[in-house]
Amino acid sequence: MDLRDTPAEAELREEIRAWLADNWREGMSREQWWAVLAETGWAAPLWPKQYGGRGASASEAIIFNQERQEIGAEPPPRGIGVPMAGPTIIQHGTEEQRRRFLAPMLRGEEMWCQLFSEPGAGSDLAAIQTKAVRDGDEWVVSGQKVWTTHAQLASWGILMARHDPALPKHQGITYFICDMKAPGVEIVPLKEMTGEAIFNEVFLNEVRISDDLRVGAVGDGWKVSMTTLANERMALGLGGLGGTAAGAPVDLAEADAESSLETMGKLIARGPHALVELTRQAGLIDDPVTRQKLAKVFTMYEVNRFTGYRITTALMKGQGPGVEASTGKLAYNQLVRAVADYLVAISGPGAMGAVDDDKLLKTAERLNLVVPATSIYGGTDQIQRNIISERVLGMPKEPRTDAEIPFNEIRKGAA
Amino acid sequence: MDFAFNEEQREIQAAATRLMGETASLDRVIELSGTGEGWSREDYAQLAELGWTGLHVPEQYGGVGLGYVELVVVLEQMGMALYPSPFFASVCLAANALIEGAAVAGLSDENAALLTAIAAGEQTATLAYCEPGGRYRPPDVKLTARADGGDFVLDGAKNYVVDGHTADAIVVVARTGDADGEIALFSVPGDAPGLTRAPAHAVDETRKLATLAFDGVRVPASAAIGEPGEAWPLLNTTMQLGGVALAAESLGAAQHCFDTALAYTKDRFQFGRPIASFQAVKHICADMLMSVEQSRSAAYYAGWAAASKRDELPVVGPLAKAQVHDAFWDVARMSIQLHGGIGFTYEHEAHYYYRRATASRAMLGDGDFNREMLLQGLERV
Repeated sequence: MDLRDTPAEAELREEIRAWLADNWREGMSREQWWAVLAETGWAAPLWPKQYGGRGASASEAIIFNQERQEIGAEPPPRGIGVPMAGPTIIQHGTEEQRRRFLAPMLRGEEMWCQLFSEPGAGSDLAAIQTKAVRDGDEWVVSGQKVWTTHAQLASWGILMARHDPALPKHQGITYFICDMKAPGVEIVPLKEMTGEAIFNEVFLNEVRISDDLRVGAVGDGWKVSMTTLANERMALGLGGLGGTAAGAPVDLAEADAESSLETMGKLIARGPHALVELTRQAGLIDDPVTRQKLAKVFTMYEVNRFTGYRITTALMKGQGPGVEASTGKLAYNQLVRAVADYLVAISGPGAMGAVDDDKLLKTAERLNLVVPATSIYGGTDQIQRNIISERVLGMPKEPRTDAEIPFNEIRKGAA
Repeated sequence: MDFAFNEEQREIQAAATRLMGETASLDRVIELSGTGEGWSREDYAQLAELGWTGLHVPEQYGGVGLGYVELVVVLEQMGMALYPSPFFASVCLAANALIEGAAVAGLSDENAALLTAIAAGEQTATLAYCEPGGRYRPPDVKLTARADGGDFVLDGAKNYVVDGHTADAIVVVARTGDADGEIALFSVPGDAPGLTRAPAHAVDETRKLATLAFDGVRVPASAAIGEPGEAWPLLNTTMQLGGVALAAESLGAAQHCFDTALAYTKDRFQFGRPIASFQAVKHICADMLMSVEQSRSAAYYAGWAAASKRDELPVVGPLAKAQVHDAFWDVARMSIQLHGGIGFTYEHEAHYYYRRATASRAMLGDGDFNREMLLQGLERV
């Protein structure tokens, strides 16, 4: 056990530092930087070389990410493209699809969105009702999707639709790539409880999708979506594992510049020392009750950081993530709730909201209002616990009353 | 970066698992808990033979000279079994005071001999800190050390002294002046004239406590560990290292509670199905897993910091102590819950773990205390 770099890792780090020094310039436009990353494979280092990656080891990818953050260089294009749609297309797509979609995805030229959830299919994702009807070389897709981030900005969506309602629910699903500019795609911003519209409803009205844009075989949609979701869980869980150990500058939200979710992500990534500073600024650093709360939140941050080292170690050794990774999203949500609770606590009566130009109060309000989302999106906390208990702890699966019967005979959604 | 045990550490782990299997069955643990001493000298000799009583003791004192991570490995296995042994008191409290004292001020010949004897497993020692009504804060140390010629004379009382009734030597925390920080540590032979020792009631039946009375106990100046009157920082480091060790031990115990409870839910049928098939039970188990894994992260990281990144110890030592013990107590309680009525019987093992959780949580300061220490360990907070 030694958390320091091995000689090989230290050498790699030097090389990466030198590369970053040569290639990243302060004031570079995001597009220029993304082009450099895509060209050199650093936009998705773990992907195979022929698809625009570097075929890099996990150590390389992790060290690159650390060093990139260290100098404040922008991350490669994210959204759901590179982390989720990309790996799915690499694993299940056709060669033509890989050639067509991966390169612009890596350059950030084409943004992606996810057309999975529906009003009647939340935790029970396999209950989707959006129809895909075959028509020659095309499919005609109709239905309603919800909770779609970046739908207005996206060029493409990964889509789950039901091609045969007479089959049992998991068997009747096919996976497509949907052109978001196609006729019949209607995007309606969805106002959330924060007052923002981070998400959208997407209505699909007889949208025609070429059969070339089907990912995987007809009826394999559920299996293909598992690749997407496994990558999503990974990305969400790892989100809480950053955390800078040293005192990062306290730089609270510019309310209009970013969404509440982005505020949350940044605050968590900044690590616990920012909270110490805020407590001092609020004049509460000597209050024993506040100190207890602060130390509890500090502990959660640090424990997530330590767990992150275990996951990193496993990845660097080429092992799959172990049991510690399975609880990543739950642990992250626990932390985010605690941070929100803490900021509200040190806001005092200001948590009621009268002073609107105070950055602490504004951040506390935004974080507190967005926190209920975290334990819902990407699989609710309750679904996460089911997954952990069944897949990691080997406890019996939930009895399924609807898995074997035709989908069109199952009662769905709310009464 | 490698935040996993190396090959040597895995070998030690396997050896510890084996030894616990051979010598620490629940029946044996219960049998030993019923004896006056509370532990077996033959078993202790086995630990010494394996080199574990000197695992992290520097080689110049006859130790193996390995780091704190190896100690963490052994303690985790001991905790799983509730292994009754003065190992914790002797190797993780007293020896640490001596090792750290050596780094601060060197060791007198007699203290060097004591550390050597502890490392060899020939003697056991313990730390006497708490006093009646007191906690782990400077003003709570009231036992006085009065300079008299070249000697010190000790007067006062100590309680909750872990394995204090059997220890060959006591490292005692004393006060040399009225100011908060005027603290000294002395090593005192267990049979020193004026020292009386009595076994005390212990909630944790698998770890014995003693009450000590010092009535004009005279020790030479060479009994001092660190500088008399300036030993508060040394005591703090000893507490932090002890907290990491206790966290490692309690991690193992928590893991055991979780493993047995999980296995039981798969065997126990109610309403015609294993109770493990109910979501109410599954979700408790998922949360227990998270608690145990978070504790593992904290205990291992703190062990590594104790070995190799000492500047973080004042923060991550108390952090791990608090995190692991709050989790252990929760997991031990939920283990009883999942066992249902049978878990509440004296005959069932669960209460021994719950008792251990209760006592270890209070020992070296509870969660609130250690969280405050954590903040004080952060610079300027």
